[in-house]
Amino acid sequence: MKYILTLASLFYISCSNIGNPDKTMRKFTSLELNESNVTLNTNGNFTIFTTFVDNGTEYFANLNKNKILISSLSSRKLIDTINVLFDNKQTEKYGSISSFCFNGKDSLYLLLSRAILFIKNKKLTKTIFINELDTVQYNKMRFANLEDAPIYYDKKTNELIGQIYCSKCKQVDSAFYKSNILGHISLETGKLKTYNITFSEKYISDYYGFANHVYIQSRDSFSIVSFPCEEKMFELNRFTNNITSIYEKSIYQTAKASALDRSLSDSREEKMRHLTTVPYYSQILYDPYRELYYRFFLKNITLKNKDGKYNTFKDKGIVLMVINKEFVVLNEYELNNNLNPYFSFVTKEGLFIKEKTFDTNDSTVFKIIKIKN
Amino acid sequence: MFLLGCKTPDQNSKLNEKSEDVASYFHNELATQIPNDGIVIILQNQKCSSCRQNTFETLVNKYLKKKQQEKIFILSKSDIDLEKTISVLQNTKIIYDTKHKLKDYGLDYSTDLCFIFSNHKLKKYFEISNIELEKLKDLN
Repeated sequence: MKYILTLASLFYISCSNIGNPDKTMRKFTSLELNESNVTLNTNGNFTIFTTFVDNGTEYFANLNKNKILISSLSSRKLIDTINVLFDNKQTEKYGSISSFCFNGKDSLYLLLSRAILFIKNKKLTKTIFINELDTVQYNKMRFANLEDAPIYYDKKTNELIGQIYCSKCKQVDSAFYKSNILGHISLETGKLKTYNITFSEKYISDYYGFANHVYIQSRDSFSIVSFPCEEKMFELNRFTNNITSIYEKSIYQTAKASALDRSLSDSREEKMRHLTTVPYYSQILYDPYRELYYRFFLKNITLKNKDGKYNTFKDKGIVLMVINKEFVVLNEYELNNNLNPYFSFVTKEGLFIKEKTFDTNDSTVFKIIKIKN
Repeated sequence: MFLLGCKTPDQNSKLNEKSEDVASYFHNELATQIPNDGIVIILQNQKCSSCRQNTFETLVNKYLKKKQQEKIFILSKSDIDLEKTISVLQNTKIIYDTKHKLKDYGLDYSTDLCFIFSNHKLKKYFEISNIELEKLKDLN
């Protein structure tokens, strides 16, 4: 009986709504919003980055040209680099890097397509092979950062948290969306386990083409999950297995996200048009210093602009939703289109968002948005 | 038989729309007109040009080599591998979309496109992929 109860509690997943499941909780609050710019030396353009705190100092780290560059966010200076250059044999063995995170300045975890590497004091000290086709646990799934779900090191459990997906399912089929999307790998045993959280009902019943990204941000015992065409956001308490669903619709969303006919799944053009025009919820970040959530919303737009020219995804207006810890929307701000929410993170100073630049400078400019209650 | 030869209203409006998009690009950006009988191939800017080389070579060898019509290639920038493959064809012209104007006309969805014009009309267009190339025999 004891065992049955233990098992039952292990597999028990509870779901709850906060507020009305179809209505956004709002309490208009006039917030003080200060903007400033900061330049960091990133050695040029980059796509993979992270932030971390070590002994009270905040750091920004980005991957560039086989090196991880670490900058101090207080001095704005590059303070260290870690070489992650692999030879051809190692590259074949481990694959390419899709995400990394730190547990203090000296402990680096790298997620590659075929392995997780633990680098301590710049030396490779542990390798966990993942996504091996011939093993039972990776028979149907892969552990990978497909784009917007960076890995997170959970100190309490000594596990890496990250995105998983059904590798045997076609993305046009609902089976892909019914599969779990979050997993955890024990750094002790190397075993992968999954959390019982999938795409939302909306994605299981309808097809949204390229607008099927999974946005995941993990912290402490929580992981926040958001999908582009879904007004709801979800918070998983990984310790209790409780999923909280909150309806957080932007006031700038003026149309429903239309679904795509599954017969159009082979047409890149139709999927890109859909992606360009639909209302789109992207990154979601938690600000522990101000106890706020920031959710980015990209406005629904018409296929063509007033001049008759076609719009592109980059033409979608950007909105920042500011949400308090009780999930009440306090305010929403239209941001300059020159900002890229994909490159955003939170520090003591505020919310950093990268400016879109196409120059070849070594440095990257971020706008800092500081919000005061 | 008649039914098989007909295009649905959806297909027709899609063809008309794409025909207008290509015509507007030619008129506004190239100060010229779409070919009466010819093939327009748009090869988009891709990080991995070699990734599409096999598919593009199949299009050239399986289909384009047999066609006498003018073949206009629109490239985002000069690409030695693509130009070498194109050089085996006759009656070709290469245009560079250096100002990235294709996107304004709905012609840049990060996929390569092929437009076939006949008797002043767009007869067919398709995204250049292995799946579509399998269907090419229908056009011969």
